[in-house]
Amino acid sequence: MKKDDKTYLLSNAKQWLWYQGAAVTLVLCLLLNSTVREKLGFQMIVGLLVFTLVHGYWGVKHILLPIRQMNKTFKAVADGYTLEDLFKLEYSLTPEHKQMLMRIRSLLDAKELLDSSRKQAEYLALQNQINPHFLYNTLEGIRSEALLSHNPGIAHMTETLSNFFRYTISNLDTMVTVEDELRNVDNYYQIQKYRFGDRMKLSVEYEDGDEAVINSCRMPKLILQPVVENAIRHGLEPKVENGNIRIRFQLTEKRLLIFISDDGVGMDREQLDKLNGQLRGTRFEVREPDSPKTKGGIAMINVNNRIKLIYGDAYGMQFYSTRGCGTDVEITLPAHKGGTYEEGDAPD
Amino acid sequence: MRKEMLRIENVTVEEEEVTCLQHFNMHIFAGEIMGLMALDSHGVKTLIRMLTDNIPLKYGRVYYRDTLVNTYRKDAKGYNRIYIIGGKTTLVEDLTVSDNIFVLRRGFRKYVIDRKVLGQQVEERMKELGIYIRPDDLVAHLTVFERCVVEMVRAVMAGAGLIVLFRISEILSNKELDKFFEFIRQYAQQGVAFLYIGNHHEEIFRIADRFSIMEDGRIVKVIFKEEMGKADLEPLFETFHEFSPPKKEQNQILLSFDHVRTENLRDFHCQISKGQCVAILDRSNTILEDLRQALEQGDNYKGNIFFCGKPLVPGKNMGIITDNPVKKMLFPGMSYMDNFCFSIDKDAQVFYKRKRVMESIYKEFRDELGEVMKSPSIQTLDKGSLYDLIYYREILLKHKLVVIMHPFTGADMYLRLRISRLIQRLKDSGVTILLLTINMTDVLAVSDRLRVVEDGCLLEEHSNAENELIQENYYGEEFSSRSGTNA
Repeated sequence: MKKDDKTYLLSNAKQWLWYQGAAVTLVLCLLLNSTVREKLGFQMIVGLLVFTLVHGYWGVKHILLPIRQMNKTFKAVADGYTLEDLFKLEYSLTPEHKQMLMRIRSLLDAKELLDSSRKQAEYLALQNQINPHFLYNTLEGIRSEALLSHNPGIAHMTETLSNFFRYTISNLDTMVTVEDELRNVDNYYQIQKYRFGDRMKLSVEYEDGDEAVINSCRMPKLILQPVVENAIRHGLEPKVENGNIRIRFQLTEKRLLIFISDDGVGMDREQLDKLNGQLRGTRFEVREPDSPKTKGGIAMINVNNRIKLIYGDAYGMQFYSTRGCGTDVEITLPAHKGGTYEEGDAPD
Repeated sequence: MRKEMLRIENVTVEEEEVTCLQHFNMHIFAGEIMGLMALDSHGVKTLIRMLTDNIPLKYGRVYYRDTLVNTYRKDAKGYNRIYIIGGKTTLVEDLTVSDNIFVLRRGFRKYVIDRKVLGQQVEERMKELGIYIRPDDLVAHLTVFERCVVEMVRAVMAGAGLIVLFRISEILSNKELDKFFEFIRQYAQQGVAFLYIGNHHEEIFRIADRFSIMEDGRIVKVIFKEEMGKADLEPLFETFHEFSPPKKEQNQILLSFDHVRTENLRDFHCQISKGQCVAILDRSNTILEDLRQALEQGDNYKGNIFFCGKPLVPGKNMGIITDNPVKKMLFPGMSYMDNFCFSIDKDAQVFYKRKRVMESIYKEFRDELGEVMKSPSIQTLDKGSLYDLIYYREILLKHKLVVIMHPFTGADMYLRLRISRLIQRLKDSGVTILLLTINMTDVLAVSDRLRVVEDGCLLEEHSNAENELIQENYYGEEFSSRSGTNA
């Protein structure tokens, strides 16, 4: 590590003070000498002035502005807007400060969090005493019985349910295509249709004929279905009339934008602010499912956490809603068309 | 695949410890016309300043042309090439059109200016739009519509990727707005993005590809093109349903224009019955000022104007509420009661009677206006209370006729609703009301009759019962049928 590294603010400040002290001492010594004072008095004042200006500018640029920048990030972290940016600081106070941040980062490693998020889902599955293989076999058995007794409705429903569980329970950490995600959403929708009948409609729209490209884009698994489930549970279920859910995709050069809108009951301002507040950064407290603080909206927060942990704070979810006017969820992901995601894709 | 021109990402802005924008997200593609309607005005001006001046953010990021231009982590420097059209003009009035378009442009570095070349370029641009504005005309001589066109051409010539249109329907008439919409679409096809900020969703539906609704500094709803007119937005908009049934035309004529001619009025003939609320909609945006001057000063017209059956005595027995009355009709240094009683009879202003008169006025209006009447200064009051003051002052003065210029200009949805109620209150007190406006949307809800004027001539006349038909003609059946009468 270089001692003169300008990213360490304390060294900058020390250096600044040394130069300042040396210059003042030199000028004082020279001024004490009467010959020098008579001959070079004016030049020395001008020189001192120039030195002060240059030195002041250097101090502002390398000490004051970085401290202000750093403080802004600290404030954003303290207010709960971000955590990730704490580890992306351009400046540190000292090498030890930098090492400390690195250590904290390793403790809160994103991968660990991802694992814990996945483990949490598995834990929940276990808690519900679900054994995947036992479940699939049982569902397959029910389907066969239904077919034998000429009941195609139950057979279809069981098959859909089996497919849904197969997708949901296995390999939670893989990346899938948009098409896979939509197929799972459709499975979920088919199951819900047995409950709601024609009361509920789901439509998928693509903008500007980008359907094939969008379908091949890769995204984290189980992002869409929880949002659709949330829309049904909190938006359409309490609604008396028919309801619609619309999934809309927009693809730009760098981002894949997904809008999931429902025309359900919506939510009031307080709820919306609370939810958006919880979604604005990566949050760790929601990992505890039993915490009374985190009840309600935990699925959305977890989905948002997974997006932010994989791609960074610039991506994630945002809710728009008004009581009586439905809810829109905007999901922003990087557009990686068929390829794998690279860390450098994240902006800023 | 679309190209993003602007991306506002989870932005929170605080100014003077007030959160002006919160969790604000928006993206606009190249060539897209994005609509934005603010239910209240909170945060709109901050948003505009953030777009142009890169003001400090509490959190979030702003990308323009795919470049990060502002982030909470650093103090952003410089301005974005985003232009605002609407409200105050940014053109220099004493310079010509071509000077404004080319010479004042950021980055213009020529020392010798060839006026002929500049003129030709301006003419070419205007020709593309199908409009003729002389390059050598001084901006001061242009109409409001022409100024808006020049501003748009200037923005496009300066390489603006995004143009913000801020409440332009308040300064352009319906006819001019139709034409302006054509220009917007023409430039949008060339890849320029627009953010159209308006007060009426019906108006935004006509032009926008996508539409966001904003309240209290945050987006509450995003509507896509195919949902416009279909989405049930009524819970979002407060609607003015409280109007009393329209008053029938009485035989007693209060105000009558008899073949009146001014610089812009051509043989204007019109009668207004006592107790009615009549709106004059000027589709060409030329005559309203002439009408106001004729009624207030009486020195600019030929023909006859009769008031209560007698030749008009300018300003007598009538009150005129100007556009933006809060700024123009109140004295910020005076108390509420002093403002309220400012124009009462001179006799009542005598010091020994004054206290008694004011106490009596306070008792009369206390139930309706509330304790706010005791305010020692009006500077701390909200806009709604100030509008109450202005309109109730007309009730106090017992004028026979109240002329209201552009009653809803600059008002957000909640304020428009309040103004509608105030106009209704004036009507209920028996005052005859003349609304002078260039935008029909709000006046339809409160007026008994609508008279449409174009190029200085009375074009058509409608009664209140025909409101829905008029809306359909203007906004199209699809948009008007769901919108109701939104104040």
